[in-house]
Amino acid sequence: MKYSSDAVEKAIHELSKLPGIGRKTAQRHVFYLLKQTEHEVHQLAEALLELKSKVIHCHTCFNITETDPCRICSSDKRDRSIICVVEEANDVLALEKTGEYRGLYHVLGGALSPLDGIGPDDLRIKELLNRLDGVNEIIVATNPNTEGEATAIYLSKLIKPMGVKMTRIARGIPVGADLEYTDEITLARAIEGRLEY
Amino acid sequence: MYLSRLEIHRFRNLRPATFEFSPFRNYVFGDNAQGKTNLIEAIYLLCLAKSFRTREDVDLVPFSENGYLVEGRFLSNESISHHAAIMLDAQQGKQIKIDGKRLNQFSKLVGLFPIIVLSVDDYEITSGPPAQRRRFFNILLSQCSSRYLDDLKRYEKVLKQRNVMLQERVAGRRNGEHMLDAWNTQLVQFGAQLMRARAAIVDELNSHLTAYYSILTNKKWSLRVDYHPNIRFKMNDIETRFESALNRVRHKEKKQAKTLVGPHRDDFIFAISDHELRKFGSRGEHKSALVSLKAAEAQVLYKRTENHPILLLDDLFAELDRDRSSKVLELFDPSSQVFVTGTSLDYAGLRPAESTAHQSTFIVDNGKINRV
Repeated sequence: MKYSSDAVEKAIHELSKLPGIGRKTAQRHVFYLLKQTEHEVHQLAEALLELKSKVIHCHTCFNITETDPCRICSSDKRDRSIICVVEEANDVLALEKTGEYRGLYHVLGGALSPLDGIGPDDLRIKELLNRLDGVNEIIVATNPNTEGEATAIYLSKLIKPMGVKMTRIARGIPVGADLEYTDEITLARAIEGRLEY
Repeated sequence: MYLSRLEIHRFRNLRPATFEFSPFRNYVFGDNAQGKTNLIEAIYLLCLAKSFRTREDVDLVPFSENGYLVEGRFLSNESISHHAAIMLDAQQGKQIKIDGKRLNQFSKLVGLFPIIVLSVDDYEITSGPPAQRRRFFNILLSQCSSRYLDDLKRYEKVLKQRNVMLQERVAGRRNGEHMLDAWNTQLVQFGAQLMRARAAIVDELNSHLTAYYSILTNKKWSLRVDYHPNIRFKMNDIETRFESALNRVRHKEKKQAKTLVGPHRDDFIFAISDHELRKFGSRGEHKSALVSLKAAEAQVLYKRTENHPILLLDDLFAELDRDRSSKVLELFDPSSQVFVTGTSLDYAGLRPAESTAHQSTFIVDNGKINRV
């Protein structure tokens, strides 16, 4: 059923395009917004517009930022000889939370997946190759699924011959988890990837 | 492991009911199209989250309902009890709960309650195309080890990705070889695991298969299965053989735009006294071979998991002569739980005693199941 107000219909249509939001949820949100004060709805609209007008991609690492180059790329406290390659900007956030990593980042914007029509030219790989001057090590931190793994192998085939050290983040047992509660598959793959002391 | 209690709330034509089963022998008799196979199917669904008869979950929903719900209680040898529930409904979709906790992946159910079914469609294993035999071995190996199932899922994903890439004819493009390599490495890695596991289990299966078939046939014939991998190998050189096979078909693959070598093209050949069953077997020989295969499968699962699988033997006596019918139940370990279905004729012939501690008998009539 369609609503008699075009504005309502349009708002529902736009909201239901968001991931995880179907038409029913969109309807609920629209009727919630109708009950809000004009000021509150304005604030939401402004916040959304600012996303597009203020947030940009850093032209060096392609992380999301409001300044170009981003705070990480322009910081003089970071180790410029190491680049950590990730799939999405979200992953930078996750790694930054650790406070452990002091090098730079490079956001690929996805992983190789022919099924989804994503090839090397759809990722920011060329841009990564242009950054290799003065870099000693590339840490590939793509996801441990088949697509992330294929991307890691592709990058190593491409970059290793250029004399840069290529490393892959370890996968295994989550810290804080007991061995007996770790699922068998994670455990089996952790044994495979064991390290010598 | 055995199923001590089953609660049917909504499932196919079965009336809502609760059943207590014997830990050993359970007979289910009834005329055709009354619901015998539906009961077997409900148990299978509870153990593997899918049916052996259909890929469509909606087929399992009763006509007047919009979902299904089956619950069960399993008891292990150490008397540890697990509650399992599987349901489909319009709002939540398909869900599995083990001891009240929702499983986030259906594949995590596989192997918790090892199960084997013998159904009418199993003729395809010995007489149909290779895909049916690979499916048989995949289900067995997945129940033996969750690692195998994980390797299989990853292999199939890599295969799909690689085929799409071959269709896009990337090979000639800049860095095209690197792009192929990116998928080849994983194809070989996961494929080699599958091949190793298949070779090992065929040997184990044969050590039981021959014995069981000779019991059924009074030692007149012997049955064995041989692994015919698409890539010939020895246990220690799979990866190198796989890589060189990929190199060999490189040009052909570009032309045909699909992956031409690997365990997705494996086959297994059954032979009775050196005659290939698929080509020369009679209907009765196929049935005897299948029953022996399932009994051998049960032994392999038991040896690997230290857990007796539940056996669902649908229409067990069909196509067996009187002599073989009388022996067929001897093939199955007396301490494992077995469900046998048969027609009312089988009931008259077999004359099972009334329900005792060691066996229960049920009669199915128009979706209603009564214990005798």
